[in-house]
This record gives sequence, C-alpha cells and structure tokens, in this order.
Amino acid sequence: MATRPSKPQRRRHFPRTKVCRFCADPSIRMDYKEPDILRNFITERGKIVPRRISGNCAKHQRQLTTEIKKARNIALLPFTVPRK
Amino acid sequence: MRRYESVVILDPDLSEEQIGTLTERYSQIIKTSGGELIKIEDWGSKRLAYVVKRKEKGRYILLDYVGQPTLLSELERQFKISEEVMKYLSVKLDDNVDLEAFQAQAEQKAQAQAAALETPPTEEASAPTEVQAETDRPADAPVEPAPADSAVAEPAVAEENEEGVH
Repeated sequence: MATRPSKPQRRRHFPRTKVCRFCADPSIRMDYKEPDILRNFITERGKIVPRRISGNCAKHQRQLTTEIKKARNIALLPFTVPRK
Repeated sequence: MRRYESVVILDPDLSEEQIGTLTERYSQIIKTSGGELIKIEDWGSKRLAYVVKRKEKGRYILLDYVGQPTLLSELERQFKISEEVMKYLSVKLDDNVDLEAFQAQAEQKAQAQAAALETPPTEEASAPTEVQAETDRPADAPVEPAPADSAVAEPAVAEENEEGVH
C-alpha cells in the first residue's frame, strides 16, 4: 500500500480581532517628535512593522511610515539596529 | 506665508552661551525676513539613535515659525554652514498662514494667559472651597437626606395603608 502523502498540516490560525490603534483612540497623535509612540511600530531591528501584523488601517499606516522616517532622519529612531 | 518647524541637532559640547547666541541668530534671521517666531523648544541633550559626526549625543532645539519659503532656504543654508549644527529637519506644518491673524491670535493668547495669571488667586481661593464643599457633602449627603427621605416616605405609605384599611 502506497503511503499517501500526508495531508498538508493545517496552519494553526489564531484569529485575533485587529483594530487600528489610531482609529480606536484618536487621542494618540503620531508625531515624529514622539519616538516613544512610534517605537511600538518598529521591530527590534528597527524595521517598520507591516500592517498585517500591527493591524493598522491603510491611512494610518501611511502616516505612520512617514513619521517614522522623519524620526529616523533626526536620529530619534534608528535606521537599523546592528546585531552584536 | 507658511508655517514651518525645524528640529536642529546641535553639538552637545556647546556651552549654554553658544546655544543662546545661535538661537538668537536664527530668531534674528526669521524676524529680518518678515517672519514670526512662534516658539523655541529646547529638548536638552538627548542620546542619538545612531552616531552622528562621531557623537553619541545631541542637543535638540525645535524652532516653530511662520515665513516665506525663501526664509526656509536661508535658514537651511545657515544650518549647513555652521559647524555646530550636526543635523536638521524642516517640516512644513501649514500652507497659507495669515500672519496678521496669527499675530492677533498670539496676542489673544497672551492676553488670556495674562488674565489667567491674574485670576488664579481667586480661582484657587474658590476652587479649594468648592472641593471641600463637595467632599463634605458626599460624606453628609448620603447619610442625612436618605433617612429624611425614608422618614417622609414611610409615614406616607403608612397613611395610605391606613386609609386603605379604613
């Protein structure tokens, strides 16, 4: 009896309700001058967290990327965090 | 007229005097070009996210001003020339700012602040008493009125009952 190719393992899926944080709470102002807020949306290596992970809406993600890039320009956020 | 904001990173080793003369120079440039300086913020010496000009730290100064686009180019030219400026970033906050309206607003704000400065004694004097009154009341209020209400309510009910019986 030929061994059947095993069924592709089902990817475990954790459906989580993702809400854009900036839509949920309009009081959070994203501003390149406040790196502490922006820091929530970059990885340890300094990359911008994609929308599918962070759950931001398109509009706010667009604003966020420009603010993060401004903050990088004046050394409030890193471009990269070198591995040590 | 446009409203701009420039963040300037200065050499952290500068003395306060040097920083004072630099900010003075920038405000002079803004004023002579017919612009208006709205505010200067000094964020102090902060750690940089990456090394700039072999320095780990930088002195952050924020300039918020209204002016013509030529003012911005002149200011940026100055930033580039001066050795003390390690990095800068200019952002346009608003197109078409009416300078006179803005100045009027600023005056109103200043007046409001002045008024606020004058009034606080009375406000402070009145506010604590209000707070005390409020704090006193909740302590007394639930205790006193409630018995009074129940005292009033009970006889009424009793009378009704009596009437009903009769």
